[in-house]
Amino acid sequence: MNRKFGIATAVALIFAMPVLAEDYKIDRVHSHALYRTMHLGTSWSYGSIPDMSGTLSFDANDAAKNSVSVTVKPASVMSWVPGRDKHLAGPDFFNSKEFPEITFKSTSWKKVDNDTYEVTGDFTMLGVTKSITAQVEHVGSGTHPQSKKPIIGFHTEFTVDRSEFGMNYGIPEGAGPEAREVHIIFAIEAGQV
Amino acid sequence: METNPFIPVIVPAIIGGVCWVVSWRLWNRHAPNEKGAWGGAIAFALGFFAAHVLVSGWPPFPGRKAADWLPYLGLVAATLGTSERYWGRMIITRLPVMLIMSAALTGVILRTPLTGQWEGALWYAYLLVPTLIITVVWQALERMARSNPGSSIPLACWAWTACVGVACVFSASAKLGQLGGGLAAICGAAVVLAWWSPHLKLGEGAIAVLVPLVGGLLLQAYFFAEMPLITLLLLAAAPLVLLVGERRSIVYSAKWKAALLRLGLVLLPGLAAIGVAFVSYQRVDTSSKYNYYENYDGESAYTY
Repeated sequence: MNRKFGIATAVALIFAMPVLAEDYKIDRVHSHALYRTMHLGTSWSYGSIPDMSGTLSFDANDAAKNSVSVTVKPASVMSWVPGRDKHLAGPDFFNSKEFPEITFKSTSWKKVDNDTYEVTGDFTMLGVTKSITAQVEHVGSGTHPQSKKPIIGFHTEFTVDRSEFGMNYGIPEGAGPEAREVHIIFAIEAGQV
Repeated sequence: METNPFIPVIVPAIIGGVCWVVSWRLWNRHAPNEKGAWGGAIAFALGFFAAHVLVSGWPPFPGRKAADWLPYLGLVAATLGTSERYWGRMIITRLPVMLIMSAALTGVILRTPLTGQWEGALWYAYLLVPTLIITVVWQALERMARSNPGSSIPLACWAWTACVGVACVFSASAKLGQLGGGLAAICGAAVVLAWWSPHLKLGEGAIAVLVPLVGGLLLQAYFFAEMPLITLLLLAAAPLVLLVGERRSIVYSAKWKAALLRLGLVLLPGLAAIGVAFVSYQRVDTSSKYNYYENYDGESAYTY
């Protein structure tokens, strides 16, 4: 009797414990780092940096426990024009051999509403780190049909001024802020480790 | 920063021209100031700094990336160039100064990979080999520039820096190409002024700045852009090919003949270097940068 009571108590205690943040690893195949920039003040030019990795911890009930760390390797930049890809990866823009990684590491999460978070973190590019805040949407959660492990998805778009990171090439003299702004989109799917 | 592409060429040429005219007092065509060689060091350092500001904006100090440091290294080299008559006449003082400057340049330009990517023998190789090559090129060009006043050596240097600039453009960096163009423009100003006053020479000042600056551009183009190794070696060897022009039969030939021959000697490897860079740039890398079927650091993807 006492043994059964002990087991029941232990099980009850386990379920009564506060839910811990779960650790996930970014699924590169289903995650995307995209950017768009204004071209000559007339149209949006899109590109992608497919080599993306990182981890995140997520607790739906306590945003303070959440964290995310994303690394993209700009050497893999794709703009669908091979000559332009070489130029973008080179010293005039991403300088990917001297600075092989662009990183974002969160420093705080705040819940805005049911599926939206305000995430502040350190964004590092070309050796310069700036604190940025982005609205992050929790797109969905589920279980992967093959691995049977939990998966989770987020989406965010934020803007950086590339001249603040020393990426000045090709900014027309006297141009407005739109010529310096790069809109970065992270669409992340992560699987539980 | 995007300005008219001719401005980063015209402004350094004007700055360089003014420095040479003032230091050599070239308004006195046939009897210029024979101690004006220091002006060449100022011409290259200030002209290059101006080109950098016009192409990339004011470089932060301390620099964050290699390109930020090069204009400041040019100013350091200018202090050596302006005082070269005190340390540069004896090999026992000249060689250590050249080696230290070349090593400092290599160390600062390759700072990021030297501190984070390369280790062991590779670390020493990437520091020592460029240091030695820069020193050898510097010594050879300095020797020729001292013994050959007039427009012949400036013309060869113009061809060299112009080839460096064009090769940088075909190595996926228009910015490095424009900076090479700025150096070529300063050399161009020297060609015109040396034609006007044949006493003008690049030795004992100008070469001490020109070679480190070109070395810095080439190191960036090879290690951080897409410059092929063959292009790098051909451009580094171009001034050494000029040694052929030191044969007595050439030195004592008509000045225009010697100048044309030196121009041809530099253009030969220079144009070959551009050709190799051009062919390499046109080649499209068809291999996938990203394996669609890999996931979680190489494990197979669950689905796609």
